[in-house]
Amino acid sequence: MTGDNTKKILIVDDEAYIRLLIEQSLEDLQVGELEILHASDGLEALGLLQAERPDLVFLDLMLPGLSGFEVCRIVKQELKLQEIFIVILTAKGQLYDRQQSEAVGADIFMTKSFDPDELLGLATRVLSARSGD
Amino acid sequence: MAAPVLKKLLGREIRPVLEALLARLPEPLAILEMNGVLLFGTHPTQEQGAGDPVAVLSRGLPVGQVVGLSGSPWPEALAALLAYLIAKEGERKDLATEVLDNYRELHLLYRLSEKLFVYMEPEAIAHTMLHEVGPLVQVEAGLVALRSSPGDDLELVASFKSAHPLKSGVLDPENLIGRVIQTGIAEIANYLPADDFFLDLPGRMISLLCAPLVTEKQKLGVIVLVSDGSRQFTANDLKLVTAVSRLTAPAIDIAYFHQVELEKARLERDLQTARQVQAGLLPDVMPVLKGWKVSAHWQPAREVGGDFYEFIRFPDGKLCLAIADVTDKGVPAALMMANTRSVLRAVAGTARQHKLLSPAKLLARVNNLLCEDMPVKMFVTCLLVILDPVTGHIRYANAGHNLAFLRKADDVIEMRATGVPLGLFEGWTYEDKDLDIELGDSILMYSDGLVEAHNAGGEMFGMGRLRRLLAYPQDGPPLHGDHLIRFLMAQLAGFTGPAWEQEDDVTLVTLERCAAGLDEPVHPSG
Repeated sequence: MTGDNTKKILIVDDEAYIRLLIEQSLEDLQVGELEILHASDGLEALGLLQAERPDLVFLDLMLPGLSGFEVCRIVKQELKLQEIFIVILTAKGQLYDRQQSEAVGADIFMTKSFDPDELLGLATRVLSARSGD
Repeated sequence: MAAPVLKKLLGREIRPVLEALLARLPEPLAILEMNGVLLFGTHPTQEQGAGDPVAVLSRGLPVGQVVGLSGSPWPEALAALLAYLIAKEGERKDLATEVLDNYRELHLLYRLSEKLFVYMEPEAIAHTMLHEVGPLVQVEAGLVALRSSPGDDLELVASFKSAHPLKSGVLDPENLIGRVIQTGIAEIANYLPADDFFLDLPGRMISLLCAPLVTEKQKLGVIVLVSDGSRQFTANDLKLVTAVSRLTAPAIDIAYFHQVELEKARLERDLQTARQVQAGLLPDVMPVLKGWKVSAHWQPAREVGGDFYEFIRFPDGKLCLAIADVTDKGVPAALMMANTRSVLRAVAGTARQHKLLSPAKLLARVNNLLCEDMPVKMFVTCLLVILDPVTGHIRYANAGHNLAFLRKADDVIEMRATGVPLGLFEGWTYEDKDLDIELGDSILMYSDGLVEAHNAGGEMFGMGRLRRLLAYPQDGPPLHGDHLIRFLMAQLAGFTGPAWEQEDDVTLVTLERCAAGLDEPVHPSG
């Protein structure tokens, strides 16, 4: 059970070690109650997104089943969950990927290997802004 | 009360497995935080009879407990399993931390490669680098000392956290910091007395990491990172800071180069302005005298020069023509040229009241005034000619300048007159000489930049060559005024060749007695 003030972060990546690295990067996150959720494919992610309404999502692009682009497009454009802050975090680095991320409504595009401090700083800013809502 | 840590230590993947395991056990078993909060399973009821809690250990410390039925072997077995799982989860997190640290180091290098070459000030580069590296390597303090050019002393240009003042002598080659600069090899030294290096850390033990800032060409300085003695720098720190220093040194080198170039450009602009100012000091139109034609040309060897010419009209209609050459070239000569010209004009302006209407007396007065302020090893040569345009009579005097030539239809005559240059001996007197210029005659005044020019073979242009060029040609009309000046400059160019780097200022002034004067003012050439 989580309280109303609990912040939620969803980490979506088919590689368990990447999910671990992202979670570990967020270990020093100072935002009060925090719940970190994991999903290893697009469908699982979509289910958690609808059920849990996380504040922040780190979303890989190359996922089994449903791609990160699709997940992002459904969340932002079909479900109109604009308040969910989506960070595309991918090993893909072509200009197309960046443009497509923007087109499907992602808030930020980041590439792997990521800078852990940048990730922590971003999560702090996004979740702090939510606290101020 | 102990903080709940067991849930976190176990990791998320194992939690559903534990829940499933405990649900299938034939007897109640509970996993609790140290504060007694139930995490998984079922606590035995009072009726069932609970045994003593068994501690779950992590790195030898209790982090949770397992409670089962009294006398059951399950609590011991589960506590051991949990300890093993916690250890494995710890190893996983340690590995992740290690990977993330490597990510951080990699991104530090990425960032520095982007940031360092944006700045054009060595201090800003050093500051940026220190404030990126300092937090990552977790240092107590850091500094960068640089020398702006080889041989200069090292100066502290940036610091991180505290700017501990270095003791004098720490940069000597036998000292660690000095040795790193000298050898160009980074070093770490753990657990050293701070007194050996810093003035303000008495009795403290510190660790030092020093990395040189060197390029192929020069030893620019050093990065010094300081840590509390309890934190020992590692080989990995050394590798990272060495890589950073190798990125930083070229950026600093380029910044220094940029600064030098900026300074050169500024000087260039100043010199261009100085040239315009100096050119503005020269007469911008030639004197107009009925029956006479005056022409002039001025070509400094550098942006500014020490040569000048001047024309001063007297109320009685006479015209004073002056040509002068300050020793040396460039800015010092230009400054003295401006001073000499001002003194000459001032002296000539008051000539009438001082009864100095003789070139010799004018030179003597100018000489005395210049002697007061003339720097050592500087002097000015000057030839003054005062023309009565009505009679054609000229009176002239020479202060060490090249002799002028009088050109007649059948001869070229040196206008002999001697005297020491201005600014050397106060009280020196000069000698007036007289000549009459007849119709068709002309005189040429010039500076040594013409006759002392050398060609690629080391041969000098020379007085003899000039004299021959001035002789009236057998075939065709003789050249005068601007035509003569252009002719002589073309001869000089032909003599010296296209690769000639002008050695000295070249100035030419011609005065020609012709049948009729010009009605319009004429601008000088050059």
